[in-house]
Amino acid sequence: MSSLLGISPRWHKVWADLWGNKLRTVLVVLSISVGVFAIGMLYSCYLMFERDLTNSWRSASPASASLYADPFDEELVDSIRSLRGVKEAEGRRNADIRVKTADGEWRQMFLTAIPDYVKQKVNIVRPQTGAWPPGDGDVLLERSSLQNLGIAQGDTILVETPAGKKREMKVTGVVYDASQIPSLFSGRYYGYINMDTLEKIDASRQLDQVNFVVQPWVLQGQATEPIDAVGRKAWSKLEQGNTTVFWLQVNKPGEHMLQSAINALIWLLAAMGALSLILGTFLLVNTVSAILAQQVRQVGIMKAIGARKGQILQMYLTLVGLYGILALFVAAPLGAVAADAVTRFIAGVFNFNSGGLALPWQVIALEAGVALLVPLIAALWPIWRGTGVTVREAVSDYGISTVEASGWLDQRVDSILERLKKLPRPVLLSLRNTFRRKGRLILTLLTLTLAGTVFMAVFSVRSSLYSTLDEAMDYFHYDVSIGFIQNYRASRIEQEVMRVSGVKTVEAWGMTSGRVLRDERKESEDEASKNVFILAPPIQTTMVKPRIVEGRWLIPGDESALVVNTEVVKDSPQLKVGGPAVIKVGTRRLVFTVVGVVQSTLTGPIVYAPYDWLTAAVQEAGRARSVQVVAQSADPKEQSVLGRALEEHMKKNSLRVQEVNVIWELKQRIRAQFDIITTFLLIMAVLLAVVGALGLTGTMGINVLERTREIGVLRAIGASSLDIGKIFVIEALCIGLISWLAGLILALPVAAVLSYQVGVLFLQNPLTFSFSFLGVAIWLVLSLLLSVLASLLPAWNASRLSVKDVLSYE
Amino acid sequence: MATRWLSWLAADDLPQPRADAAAVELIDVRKVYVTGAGEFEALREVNFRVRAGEFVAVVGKSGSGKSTLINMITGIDRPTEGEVWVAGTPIHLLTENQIAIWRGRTVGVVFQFFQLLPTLTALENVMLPMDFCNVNPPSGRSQRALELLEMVGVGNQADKLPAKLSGGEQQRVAIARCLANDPPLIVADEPTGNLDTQTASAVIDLFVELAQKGKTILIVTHDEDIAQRGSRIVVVSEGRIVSSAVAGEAKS
Ligand SMILES: Nc1ncnc2c1ncn2[C@@H]1O[C@H](COP(=O)(O)OP(=O)(O)OP(=O)(O)O)[C@@H](O)[C@H]1O
Ligand SMILES: [Mg+2]
Repeated sequence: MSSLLGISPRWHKVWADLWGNKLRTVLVVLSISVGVFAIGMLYSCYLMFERDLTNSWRSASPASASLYADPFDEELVDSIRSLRGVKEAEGRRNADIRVKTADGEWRQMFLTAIPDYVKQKVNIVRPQTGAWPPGDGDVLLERSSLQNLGIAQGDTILVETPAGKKREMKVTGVVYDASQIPSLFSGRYYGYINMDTLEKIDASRQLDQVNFVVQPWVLQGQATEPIDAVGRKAWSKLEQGNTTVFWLQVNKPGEHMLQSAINALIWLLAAMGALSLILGTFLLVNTVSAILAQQVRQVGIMKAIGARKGQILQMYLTLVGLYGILALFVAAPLGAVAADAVTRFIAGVFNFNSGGLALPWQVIALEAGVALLVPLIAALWPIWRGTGVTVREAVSDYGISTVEASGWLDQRVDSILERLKKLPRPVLLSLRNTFRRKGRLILTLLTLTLAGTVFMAVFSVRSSLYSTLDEAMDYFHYDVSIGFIQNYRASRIEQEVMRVSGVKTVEAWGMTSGRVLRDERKESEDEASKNVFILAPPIQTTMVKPRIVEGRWLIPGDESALVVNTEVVKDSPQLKVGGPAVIKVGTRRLVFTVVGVVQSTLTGPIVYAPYDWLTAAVQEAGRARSVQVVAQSADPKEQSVLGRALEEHMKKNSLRVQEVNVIWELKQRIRAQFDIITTFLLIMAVLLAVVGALGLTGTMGINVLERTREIGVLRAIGASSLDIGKIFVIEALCIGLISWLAGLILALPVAAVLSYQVGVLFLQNPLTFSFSFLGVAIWLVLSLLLSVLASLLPAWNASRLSVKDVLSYE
Repeated sequence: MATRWLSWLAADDLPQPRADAAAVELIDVRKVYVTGAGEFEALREVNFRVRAGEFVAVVGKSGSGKSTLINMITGIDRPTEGEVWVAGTPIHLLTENQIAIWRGRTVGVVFQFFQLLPTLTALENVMLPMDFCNVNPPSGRSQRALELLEMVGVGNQADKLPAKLSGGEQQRVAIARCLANDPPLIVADEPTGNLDTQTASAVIDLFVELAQKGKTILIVTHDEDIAQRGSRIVVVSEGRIVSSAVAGEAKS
């Protein structure tokens, strides 16, 4: 047969080993595939991100920095454009307003007016569908805002002007703005209008934002300082034009604003890929060792008839190479499909254009390298050792696989088993079997344990994410908050709120924003710090419960006291408890004494000052700009309803609302962001469970094969198929349980480290650690289930063998 | 270790055999096994010579050292002390790889059990030595294998897997295989150990025939009748050759 095909006998043997034992081949190929798949997917995702993210973003010509100021005229933009170091500058007008959508709900929308849609130079907004540019009185929506907003092209929305008038606007198209943080993350919806439409929302035809791009020669790598310097010059230019500038926002050159989040996801994928590869390799080593142990005699015979070690080595390495090639054929297409899906998903979430599946030769080369080299290198040692057997060892019965207990470990195990004498026979037999092949057992346990450890740890990261969120949300002891466009009398606001049914308690707060300055000197105003929110609650507020990190909370008698949150400290590290803080609010410079630092709550930089002192300092005594409300109902749906009702009521009574936040909805939105991370973590967990299942099935398959003779003897002395099946199922259950226990012990530290890392990567803060017992329970059930399944197939095969089959085996 | 590595990598040049040598010559061979229980001397000061074309039967009690002796000659095992010359080659001086190559071309080995590779047909099993030692052009190998199978009387079983052959048939295939590279020396350790008398006798006929064609043959056997068919009977006892006599004279 083979002579007809022209294959020489030794290659035919290799082929027979491959083709003759299909279950084994499938298992080996799959164990290699898992790693190749993961690595290939990761690499091609990485390349696609690199290409697509950069392309989408670069093609939008992102601003190096943006200045936000009081309304100014177009000429000022020209003067900034002519500054040395500025390549391109463009002005825009923004309005943060409330819109009512078809479903009757009021939402926050960030409207941007662009003077010339056709000649955009910076932060370019591109048309997707529908009208372009927006007509008078029309609005175009950013595509990432579409999903959650529940508006389609052609719908009409109701906007409320800052003066409190309601106007209709038609949604005539969809655009793509690569420079905005996607709605999913920002919780804002973006709309685009033309300059004439500004009148419709009671705004002047002036600009309040300049985006500019610096000349390439200004840049020094990724440093932001050179851009900052140019930004300050632009700042003075605006102020020379009698415009108050609030804020200079400098972007890291060449980096997408969500780059760090994407990098973190890639890290997560990389960890998953490496782990799958390592575990898959363990399985491969296990199987290859078993093949060689099983073929000791064949190796001996080949040597006896003149084969050199090198020739035999070559045969087995070829076998492994063939496994690798098969794995490549399985893994490469799957990896491509998965990479495409992941990139699409990420592109959707992060709002960039996915350029479709790219399969550059690097990906295939890497996959081929991993599929061939890793198995070959890993299998080299077992093959080297296995083919090193001498003819004498192989054909005599001396020296191979002595079953008697020799080492310390074996004696230990035997003595433990001795004490377990009372257990039923098949259980004992299984236990002894389990411990007979130590190398294999150790590798199998290691694989399953690692898989279990990470599986459980992943669940803990998930629960840590949620408890971090819960902890952050514990800060909020109110259910709805409303911000107003201007200050109103606090007593009036409270009165109006109490008129709405469903309100339990209410508290009006002072609220404003400002910039933290380095010190009191005039020049320090040029150094931009980020905007901070200044909240001024009554000193004995019951509405928030901040977690004190250092110092104390506001107490009665405090005057110019200030409590800052950790986010503020990160940005302005000069702030120390007991030290001064200078904050510029409007044109005033307020000087506080920092009395405490509180944990930030995922809501940005916030400082807290006593209501009476602050409102007096900004000459708004007795007035407030925000109100916090506790609902009577604990039901989230009813709280949302209350939020809408409050908004309607305020508007009816001509209190002009800037924004309404229902805490429950905020929590929901953050949870959705966390779910992206969790989804990736779960993919990782599933992949590991697959590796674990493969490992156990492989090991059980090998065990059964190796003990075919023993099974024959058992059958000959009257064991039923059930008895034999039981032996293997119990053995697998033992392995499953031991690995679960070991995994449980390891899971705690691993979960702690992983949570810390995920927190630092995604939230720039370690997570509040919470160990997930749910994960532990799921893995226990899964391990037991997998154990039964993994042993059932080989056990069924084994119990089917007749005595004759078995004794003529080999 | 390093030298063995190097020798494995280097072309495996075999020392040139001495002309005019005996087919097999053992000089003061001693073999000691070190076991957990201590040292065990399996061969003691064995001196032994076989001329080309002899048919030697090695007999002795179980555990007397027959297999050990035979393994010295095939290079499967090495002497602790002494020299082993086969067809003029000092195999006690060769590396493992050199022995493998040398054995493939010089010695045909037949065992009692587990002879054939289970996944290859009878024909392929016979072709295997030619494949490994690169003897005969590839195109002629299956033809030669078939001829050998026919010679030992199992030509019609050529395409069967070993599991489908009887014990006697398997043994014949093994004999055909040991002849594949046309070695001058054939060594068989109890080749008839698990065959019935009739089949055993037929297998021995094959060896007699081969001896007549000029091959040197060494077989280990427990069977007196089989031993008597050789041209010389060597008796091993407690690791020593206690008698070596022309067949028919041993009993006296
Ligand atoms: N690798 C080894 N380690 C330790 N002792 C060994 C080893 N090989 C053989 N022996 C011992 O050497 C002695 C000779 O063994 P050998 O296999 O040569 O006997 P034999 O004559 O072939 O016996 P049988 O007829 O049973 O095959 C025996 O007592 C055996 O126990
Ligand atoms: Mg013997």
